[in-house]
Amino acid sequence: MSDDGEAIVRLKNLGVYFHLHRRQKINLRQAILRRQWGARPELLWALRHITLELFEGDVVGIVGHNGAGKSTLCLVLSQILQPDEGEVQIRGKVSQLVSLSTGLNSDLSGRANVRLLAAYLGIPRAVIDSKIDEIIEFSELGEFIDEPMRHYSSGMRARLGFSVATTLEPEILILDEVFSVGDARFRAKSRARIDEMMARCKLIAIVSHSSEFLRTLCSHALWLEKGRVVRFGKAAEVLDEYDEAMGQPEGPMEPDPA
Amino acid sequence: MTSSFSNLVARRDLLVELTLSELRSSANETRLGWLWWLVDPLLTMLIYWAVVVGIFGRGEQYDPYPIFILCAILPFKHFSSSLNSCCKLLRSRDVLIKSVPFPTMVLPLSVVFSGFGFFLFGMVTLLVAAVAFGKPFSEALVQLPALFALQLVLFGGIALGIAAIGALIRDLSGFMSHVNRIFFYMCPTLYGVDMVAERFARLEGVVSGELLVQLYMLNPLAILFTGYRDAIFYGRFLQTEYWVTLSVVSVVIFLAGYRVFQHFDRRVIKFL
Repeated sequence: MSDDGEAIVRLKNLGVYFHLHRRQKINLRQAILRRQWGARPELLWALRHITLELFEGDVVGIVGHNGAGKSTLCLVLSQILQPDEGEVQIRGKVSQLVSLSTGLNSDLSGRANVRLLAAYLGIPRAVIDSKIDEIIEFSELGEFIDEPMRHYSSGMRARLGFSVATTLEPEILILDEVFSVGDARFRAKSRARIDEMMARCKLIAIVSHSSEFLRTLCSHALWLEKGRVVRFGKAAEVLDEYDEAMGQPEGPMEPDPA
Repeated sequence: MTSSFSNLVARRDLLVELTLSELRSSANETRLGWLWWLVDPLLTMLIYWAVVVGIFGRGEQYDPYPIFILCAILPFKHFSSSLNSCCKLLRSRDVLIKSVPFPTMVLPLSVVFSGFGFFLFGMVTLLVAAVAFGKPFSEALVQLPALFALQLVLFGGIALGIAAIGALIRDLSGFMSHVNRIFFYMCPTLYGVDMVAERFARLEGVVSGELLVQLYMLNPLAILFTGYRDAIFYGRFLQTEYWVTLSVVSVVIFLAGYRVFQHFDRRVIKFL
C-alpha cells in the first residue's frame, strides 16, 4: 500500500510508436536487388517524452484532439501496450471499463459467456460463482440468460458485458467519457454503478473531448496534443487554457444514445 | 499483459474456460453436435479406404486398413485444424486483445487444447473400432498417454509460432491448405514407414537407404503417427530412439514457438 507521498502511477519519458506503412509499388527486380520487400515503415510517435506522476486520490481528466494520444496512453496505463521508450511504474490493479460485447461467443448461452468474460478480465472463479446471480439480475436479461447469445440484441450483449466488467474491483480505473450502454434508463443505472466503482478506486483517469464534463469531476487534467504533454496540473487551470486554445468552451457533451 | 510463462500460469482459468467454451460451442452450433468429432474422421477414413483399397487395390499389407489409417488421420486432423485456426486467430480477436489485458498466448493454446478434446473423442472411437476389427487390447496401449503429452507439446509450439507469424503476415493463411496437403502426403498417413524404407532401399548405392529413413523419421509427425500405429495397430512398443527424437524435437519446437510468440507479442498489438 502506498504512503500519501508516493506516486501510484509514474511515467518517465514514455514513448510509443506505430509503424506507418506507406506502400509504394515495387517490382520484383527491385525487391531482389534492394533486398527490401515494400517500403521501409515510417515511425509515428503516438506518445513521446511523457513524464507524469499521479497520486492517490487524483481524478485525472485527459483531454486533447482526436489522435492526440489519449487512447494510446490508456492502453499503456492498462498494461495492454508496452512502451517502446521510457518507463512505466504502476502500483495497483488497473482496469479500463470497455464495452465487452466483442469477446463473446455467440453460440454459448449468456451464462456461459459471463464466465468466459470474467476469465478474460481475470476475475477469479470463486468471485464469479458468488456474484453470478447479481450480475444476471443487473443485466436485466431474465430468462434470456440461458439462450445462445446469437439471439441477443446488441443492447443485450452490451448490458451483459457491462454487468461483468463492473464486477471488477480495480484500484486504478480508466474511463472513456463516451462509454455508455443500453437505453436511457439502463444508462442512468449504469452511471450509478460506475460512480460506485469510482468511489472505491484510488486513482481515476477519464478520457474526454469535453472540458465541461471533466470540470465537474476531476482534480487534475492532462492536455495532450500530438503525443506530447501540453499542460498538466490543476483541472480548472489546465481546462481554462484548453478551452481558450480551442476558441470557445464546448457545451457539455452528452453521450450519443447507443 | 505480456505472454510470459508466469502470466500464463496466473491466468490458467482463462485457458481452461476458453478451451471448454470452444468445445461446448462447436457442439452446440450444429445438429450433429459432438457427433461431428466422429463423423469427420470417419468420413475421411472412408474416402481414403475407398480410394486406396477399392480403386488402387493397395493396402493389403496393412489389414485392417481403416484402423491403420485412422491411427494417423486422427492426429493429423488435430494438427491441420490447429494450424488453420491459428493463422487468423489473433486478427479475429483484435478488438478483445486491444481492450482487455490478458496474455494472448492463451488463444493459440486453447485452440490446441480444444482440438485435443475432439481428438480424444475420435481416439475412443478408434479403440472401439480396433476391438471390433479383432485387434486385442495389448499392454502397448500404455504408450498412449505419453504420445498424447508429446503431441500437445509439439502442436502447442507450432500453434504459437503460426499464430504470431500469421498475425503479422496475412499471406500465411493462403499457404496453409497447401502446407497441410504436403504434410498429409509426406507423412506416413496412408502408408507405413516400412513402405518408405522399401523405396529408399532402391536408391542403395547412390545414397544409403538407412540414412534416408533416419532423415525421414526426424519429422515429428512421422514418429507420432508411427507411435499410434505401434500402440494400437501392431500392439508393440515404439523404438526408444524414436521416443528420444520425438521428445527432443517436440520440446525444441515448443520453445522455439514460445520464443517467436514472445518476440512478436508487443509488436502484434500494434499491427492488429
